Amino acid sequence: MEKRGQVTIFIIAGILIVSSIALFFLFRSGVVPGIGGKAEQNPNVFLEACIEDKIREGIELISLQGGYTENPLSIYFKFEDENLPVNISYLCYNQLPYALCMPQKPLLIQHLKNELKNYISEDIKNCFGELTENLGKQYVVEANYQGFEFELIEGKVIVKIDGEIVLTKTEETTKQEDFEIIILSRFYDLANMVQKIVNKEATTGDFSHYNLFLYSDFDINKYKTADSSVIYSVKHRESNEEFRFAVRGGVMPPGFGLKFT
Amino acid sequence: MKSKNLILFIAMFQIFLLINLATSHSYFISQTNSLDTSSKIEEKSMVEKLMNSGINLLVGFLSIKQIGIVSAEEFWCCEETTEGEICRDIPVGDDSFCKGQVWPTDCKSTEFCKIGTCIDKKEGVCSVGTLQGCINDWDSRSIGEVDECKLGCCTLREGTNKQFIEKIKCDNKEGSFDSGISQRDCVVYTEEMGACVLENGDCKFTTEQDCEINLNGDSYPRFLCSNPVLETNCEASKETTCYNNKVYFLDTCGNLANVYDSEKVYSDSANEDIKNYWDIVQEPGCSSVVSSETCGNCKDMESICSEGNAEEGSYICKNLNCIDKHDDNKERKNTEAWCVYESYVGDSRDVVGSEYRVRYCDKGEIKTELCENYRGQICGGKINGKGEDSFSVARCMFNEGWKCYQAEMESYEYYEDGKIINEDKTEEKNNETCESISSCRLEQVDLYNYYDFYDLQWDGDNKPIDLFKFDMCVPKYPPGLEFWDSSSNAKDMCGIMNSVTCTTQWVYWGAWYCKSNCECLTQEFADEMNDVCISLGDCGGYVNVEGEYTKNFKTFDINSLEKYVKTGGKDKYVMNIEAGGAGGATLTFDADGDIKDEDKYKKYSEQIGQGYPPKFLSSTEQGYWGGDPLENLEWTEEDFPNIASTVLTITSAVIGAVGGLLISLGGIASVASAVPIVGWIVAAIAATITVILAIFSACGFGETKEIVVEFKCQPWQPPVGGKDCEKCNENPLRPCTEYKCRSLGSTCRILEEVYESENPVCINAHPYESVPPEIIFGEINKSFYSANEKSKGNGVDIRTSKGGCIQEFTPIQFTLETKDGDEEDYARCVYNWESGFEPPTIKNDYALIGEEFNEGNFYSTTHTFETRLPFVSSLNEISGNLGERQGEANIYVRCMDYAGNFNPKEYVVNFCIREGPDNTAARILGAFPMDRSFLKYGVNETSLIIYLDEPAECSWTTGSYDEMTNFTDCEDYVEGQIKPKWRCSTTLTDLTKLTNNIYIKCKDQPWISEGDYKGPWDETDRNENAQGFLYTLYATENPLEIVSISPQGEIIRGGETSEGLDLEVKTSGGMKNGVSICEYEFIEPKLGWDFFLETGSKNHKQLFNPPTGNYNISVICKDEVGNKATANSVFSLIVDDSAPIIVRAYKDERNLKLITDEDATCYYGLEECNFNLEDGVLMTLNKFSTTHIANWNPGVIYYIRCADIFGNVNSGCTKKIITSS
Repeated sequence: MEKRGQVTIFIIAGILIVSSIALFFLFRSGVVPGIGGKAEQNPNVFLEACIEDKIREGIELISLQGGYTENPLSIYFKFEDENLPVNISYLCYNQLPYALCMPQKPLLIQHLKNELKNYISEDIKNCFGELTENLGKQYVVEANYQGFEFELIEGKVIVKIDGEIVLTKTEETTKQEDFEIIILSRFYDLANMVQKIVNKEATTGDFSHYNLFLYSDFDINKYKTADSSVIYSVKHRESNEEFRFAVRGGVMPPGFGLKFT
Repeated sequence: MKSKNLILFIAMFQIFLLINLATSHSYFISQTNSLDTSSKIEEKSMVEKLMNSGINLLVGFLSIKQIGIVSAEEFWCCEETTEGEICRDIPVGDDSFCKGQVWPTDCKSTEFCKIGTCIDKKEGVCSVGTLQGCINDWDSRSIGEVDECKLGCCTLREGTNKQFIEKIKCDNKEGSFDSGISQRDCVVYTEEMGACVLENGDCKFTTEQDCEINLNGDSYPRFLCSNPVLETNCEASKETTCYNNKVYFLDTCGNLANVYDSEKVYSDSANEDIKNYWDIVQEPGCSSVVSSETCGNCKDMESICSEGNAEEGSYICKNLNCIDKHDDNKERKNTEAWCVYESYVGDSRDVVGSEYRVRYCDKGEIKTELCENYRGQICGGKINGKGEDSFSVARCMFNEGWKCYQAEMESYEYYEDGKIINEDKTEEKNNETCESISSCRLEQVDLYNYYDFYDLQWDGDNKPIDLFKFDMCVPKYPPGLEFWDSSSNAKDMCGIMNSVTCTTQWVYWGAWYCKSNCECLTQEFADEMNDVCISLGDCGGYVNVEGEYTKNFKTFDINSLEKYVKTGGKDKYVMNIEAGGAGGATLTFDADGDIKDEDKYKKYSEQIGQGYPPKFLSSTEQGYWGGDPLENLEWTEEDFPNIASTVLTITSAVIGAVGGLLISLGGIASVASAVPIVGWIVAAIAATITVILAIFSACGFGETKEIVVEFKCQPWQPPVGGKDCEKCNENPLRPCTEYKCRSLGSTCRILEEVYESENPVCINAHPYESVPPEIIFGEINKSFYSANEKSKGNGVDIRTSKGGCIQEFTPIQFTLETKDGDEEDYARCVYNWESGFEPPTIKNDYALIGEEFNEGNFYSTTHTFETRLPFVSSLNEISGNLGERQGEANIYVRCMDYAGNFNPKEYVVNFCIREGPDNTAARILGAFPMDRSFLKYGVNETSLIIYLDEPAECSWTTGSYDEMTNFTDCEDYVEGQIKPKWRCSTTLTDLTKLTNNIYIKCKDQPWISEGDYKGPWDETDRNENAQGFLYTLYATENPLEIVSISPQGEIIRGGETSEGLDLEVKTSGGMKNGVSICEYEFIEPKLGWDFFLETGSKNHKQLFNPPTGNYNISVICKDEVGNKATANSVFSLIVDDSAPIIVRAYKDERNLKLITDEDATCYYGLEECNFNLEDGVLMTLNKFSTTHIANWNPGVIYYIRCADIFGNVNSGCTKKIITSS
């Protein structure tokens, strides 16, 4: 009898102690511990979780369509392993026979950044808003969003958000600014490779298979269409990311294009 | 009591754990989430190997040729179109879709659309682009000439990372750039690294610099971190990784060790080899392999480090070679390439629908690429080495067959008296020119080969008059054509040889006998001519890839001989002629409008890849890239030789044969007069002879006739129907193309989609069509004519707009249309002036017998009839009085659609024709040279050809109409031959003024003046244009000259392979003050002529990148009228690609003085060799000199680095000098 009573007491005591500690942490307000804790309390993590998928979506869309979200100067092409055709933009184009193609976006990296930026800007703004909203449940929040920039480097896409969040709770204030999200992607590497191909096409009219051997990190395929456009598919062998684009130039028309008056 | 305390303690301890474990676990998790995983990526980037394929693309000459912009048309430049396309050349005046600025010149002539180099300093990227596209940071030079864009080895982070990138990118990364290191050598070898021992026993395998500068460790070059001597925490492990495309061991600290070798896995054994393998950097323990699970020494090019099931670790050498399942599982090495053909190649015998592809092994996968549609590119391949070392190389190259037409054109300088003659070329030279072009060959027609027994005709100089024979310069690999599209150039291309005619001469002597060029009435003629025809492209009677033959030419049909010979009852003709002399061989006229053996062409579709495959040309060889086919060409029909130069004009030979008889008879009279014979006997003989001759003449004996045999070469058309369409889809390695699909059958089409596809599908677009085309009347000029469809359908009556008969010989044009219900139906149509011709059926291979409409043998929905109505006198039934007679003529039309359906009942077009005077004078439709052309410099005469809309006799003058000179040759009207134009030619002389005005007058109906004219009109009814036609030719004031040409003399250049050397030429004079097209040829080695990259103006430029050597380059410039200028560029090129050498170093008073072997700039550093030049102390007073001075500091080590004018600098020290103390 006594033993059972003791055990019971110990159990009750244990429960009480655990509950007290838990309640203590729950109701005690103060500085965000900064160590683990909720995502809202680590804005970078929150933003990354919020925006990463969208960025990846944007990268994929732009990469598979020749560097544009939308572009009238494109060719409608269907790949064998896909169900539907897609519009592939021309990055180098000339409708005339014999003539080399004219690069349409020589500043390709800048252009890709702009396209991605346009694609994602609303979402980033919304994510920032969500973040401040979430934080607002626990803190007094002063948020100032001023935009963002992309940085494309080897192996990464970096989003630098120019913003500021000031959190106040029981006279304690913290400020977080200039958030940075890093997404692992070969987007830049692919763009560089694409630039090389476009340079070659614009200067010599072809990126022959002998050039492929210089770039072992990439798997490059070419498809020629009925109007002598060439669709390039550039895949990074490690990450499997793909960039597709079209080129038209250096075309030898039927019968050499000779016409007689 | 004790146990109670114990229990209490345990309970409290458990509670303590319960509380704290939860929170501490959460902490660990959160910290893990925020770990930066980027280091993992960076490690992998360290292991990237930037491979140099080993193929030096700049071997020998680098002649960078580009395809020029179409120069035959003029263009304006649109900055930006509504579609967003920048810098588009648009037809003059057509700016409807241009949203940006429009400039009245072509884009390459504008500033903002000229191609140059964009330099994006922020991103560290160079790209080819226009100012328009770059906005800022644009350099007008080509990308290869811009220093920042040159490639080289960038050393980063104290040598721990090397990347082969552009200088600008290297600068952005703050690396050290060296353009002298190749891509292959731009790696960090483990031999350059060593153990860097840190505090607490940590160790990192890195470069000495990194260790000392960044890590503050102790560096042990070439030592591995696992070396026990170093007493580090790192030990041997079985883990591996990829580095420099080999598999490397890792130690327990994650550092690189030596190349993976399963036999070198560390154990505690006393094996010294194994122990050593983990102590210091060593050569790989195993030989290079292509594929292995036990050895990580991956063979360059054939193997790659990749994840896999290794005996130890996670990486293997993966075989990059390929197995070609479609070629008996033949092994192909990585980067090997070979050509794939679809027919016999070369010899101008590529079959219709065939194309060239290149196949190659790319990192274990076999890929196929179409070179270009329509054989616009061909594939050249070759095999290097032998046996196991053999290696196949191949590439696509532009088909330069267009040069053959130009060579053909240039062979004939000008036209005179009905013959083309060559000003400075003989036939041998013409042939040499053709055969010197690698893409061309001579197609020869020489019927003499068949008939060498034939009696030759001789000219006055006792030389045989040529039998029908000519050569034509044609492409070895004829281009494919859009043979189904009447708006394409197919008709033009095949029509190149349609000026070839063979005029046979006949004389009547009881029957018609052929006296000359009779070999043109044989099947050999058709055979030989068809061979020329098919060598022009997809023309003539030939086969497709399935070996299906179709006939696509028109030539003489012996059955229609009667039509030509039948005159006034003289319808007998002799089919055979016998050769004179012993032997008695017979020539039989057997032309049936076809060739002898269609099956002889089938083999070309079966002998895949046989023949004369194109030669492999590296990118450095001429011919790799073609020029602009339209440069320097103003194509007109007259540019092609009238091969009638080989045709016998009517010679006295024939007439003489008859006249000879008369002469010989007459001779008797003259002889008789010389001999004192009784006069009345002589007179009686002479009278008898005269009577005999008169009788002969009355019977038509001695009458001559010409029959012109033409060979009309037509675009190839596919077999009727679509039984073979699906065959296009059978080979996945050769995806179907529209060109091949169309060639398989008249109903074969690529499945119509709004998109392009990786694998187009060819289908029979009209599989069940059985309804014949319905023929309805189309259009006619209603101002003059009316067309009344027959009441029962199936025909139309054409009359004047007032319903009357149409005057004879009036040109008339109208169209018919073919329909299938309400929809247009594509069909081929023919007409005959008589009915009852055999319709096209499968039995006769769907042959359409009759005259073709203007659309030729193309399928069309509209069929244009254009001709002059026949003379009333030629009609069968005529009524009325002479001068007012009339009659009717019908044409009977038959049409066949794609599926072979034809109208069973002929469609009849009826004309009512009346006799009447021609009231309109002849008109000139065109002239060659064109009006307002220029004469060549120094030339004051030229041939002239004019085309008239009806036969006429013309004359010209530069002065008064009273002093007109007749044209030397004007085409006569030949009964039955209604043509769209008639030609007159002559030579204009005395063209001595700067502006020569020539007045031409023409008088029509020349037959009225002929002796045998029996019609109602006379000379007064002939029309002559009252006002002469004005034709103007300008003289070239100054000769075309090359005023400057460079380079000349001795040139010394740096060793950067990307910098080119410009061949520059300036011209002046000529027709347009120097504007000309220039070509060049290396004299040694002789590579053939090629156009300058930039030409067509007064300045001409061609970029090269030759190695050291002596050069002699011939340059020839020509303007539009043939003014020429020549010059040579003779120079010696010395390529200095070596760094300066210090040949002497000494103390000079208080200075250290150095002498280099060439002008250089030298610097010194005091710490190490690998300093940046900019960081060193300058030793050279003037920028470049051979003398270099520094202060003498005793006991100091001077690390010297020197760079010459061309930027050649040693990668390490030029010299290390220790001064004595």
